[in-house]
Amino acid sequence: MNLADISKLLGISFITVFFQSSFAANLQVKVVDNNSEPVEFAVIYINESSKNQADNTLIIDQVDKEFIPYVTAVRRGSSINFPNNDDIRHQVYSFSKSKQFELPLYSGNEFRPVVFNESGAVALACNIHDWMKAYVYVVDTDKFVISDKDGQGVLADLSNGQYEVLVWHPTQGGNVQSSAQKITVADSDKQLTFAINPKKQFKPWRAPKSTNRRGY
Amino acid sequence: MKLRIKKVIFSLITFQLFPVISQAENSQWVEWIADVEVAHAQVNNINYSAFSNDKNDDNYLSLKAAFGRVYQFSGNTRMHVALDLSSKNYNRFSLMDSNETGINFGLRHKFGLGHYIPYLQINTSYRHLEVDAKSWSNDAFDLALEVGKHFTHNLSFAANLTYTSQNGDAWQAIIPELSSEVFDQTFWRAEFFADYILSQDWLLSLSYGRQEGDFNSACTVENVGKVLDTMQVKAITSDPIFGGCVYKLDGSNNIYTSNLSYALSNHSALNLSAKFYQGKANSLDYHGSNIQVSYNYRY
Repeated sequence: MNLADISKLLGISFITVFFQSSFAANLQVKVVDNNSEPVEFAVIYINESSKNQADNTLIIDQVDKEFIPYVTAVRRGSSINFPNNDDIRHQVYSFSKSKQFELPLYSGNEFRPVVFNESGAVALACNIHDWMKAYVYVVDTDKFVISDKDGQGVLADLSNGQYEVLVWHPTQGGNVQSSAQKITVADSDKQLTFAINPKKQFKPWRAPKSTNRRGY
Repeated sequence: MKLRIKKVIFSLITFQLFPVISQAENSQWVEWIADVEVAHAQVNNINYSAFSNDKNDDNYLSLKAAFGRVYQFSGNTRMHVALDLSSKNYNRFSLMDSNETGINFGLRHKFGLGHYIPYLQINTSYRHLEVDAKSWSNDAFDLALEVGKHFTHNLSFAANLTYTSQNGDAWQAIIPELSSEVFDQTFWRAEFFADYILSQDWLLSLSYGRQEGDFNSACTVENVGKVLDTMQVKAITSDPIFGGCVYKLDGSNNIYTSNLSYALSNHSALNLSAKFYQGKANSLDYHGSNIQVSYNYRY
């Protein structure tokens, strides 16, 4: 390969990288409630079916009698492992239509990962420790993110085109589709804000009450 | 019920039943219990007198702790054993200062899998209360049955029925035909509880209790005559705390409690509770209250 060939190769590479980067953009999404307060744990995703493979096996841990993380988003067909890193046993279950399962009383990592084959929300709980709750949201796309404590999430590297963006939250009332927003991505970063109406639904009480009643 | 029989029932439940039901597959000791409460309370009508001219108020500092362990039989059934310790120090009436030690056993069963499934709980305990005023000291045995369930994400209810039998010593007999065993008492209490989660950090608890059976009241010597005239006193003795007499009677009490909890973390909370007592025995009425602020920790 002579100098001319190297120059051509470099030039083609430069042009390819330049045009690739200019055909992708980030979509910055903010999720707020009716009082404009940021909403954490909202799953922000593109309404599409991806041909990409499912995620590698994810983990929902159990530490200090809590599920970690509180909300997990996965692609349909993905598996989730439920290791118990507490020194006590838990009994994990779900009655949700998208996935019903039970992991009877166990410690450590006794069970195989659970496969989530249907789209939708899956509510998890522990039968022994009432306050333990978590959610899995199963989507068809590979373009999703979970909002942070500031209600922010970024869908990175979206190719130019038109998208329908949806938001789901564990305590959101109504249909996810009813809050859908369409957006066109064309070479530059975009911003979108969703105002949702989460119900006043709290995790069961865990802190100690001043009472003579025993509840262990 | 004789104290000996109560001791037999208590040991039967705790030490005889356990080896039998621990044969359940997959059962094992699980979490530890370490609860601590530090509280300050203002008590109105601490002597629970029926007469406005000899009611006394006071405040106290209390420290309570419970240490024990939970045993899990299956996903739906668990048991706990705990040692209870508590201490109270009063500001004005230091003879009311007390220490209490006890042991508590509970069995809790949930009727299936799920958040809204009801539970049934049986509790039994044996405790010794040592009061600086020795005549007020006693041993007590409790047997309680509780059912409860979550009705919505934020609201839960429970109902509890408790039988208590207290055994105190006989002290100075001041009226020949009346017993002096004022602190030998038995009573039943039915309570109904509602817990409502106001926000992720605030919980409101309300309860109503109805207690039937023995209770005691202390009054000055001047009012004793009225007491003996108007009602059937079951026992009476001299009282070193309030300078008069303390007597036992049979009646009923309504107990109204509200509690506001603020979660500091998953393991600790501040609690503000207000308890109001309304008692009746024959023609006399009794009223009292206890307003308490506490810090609670649970391991």
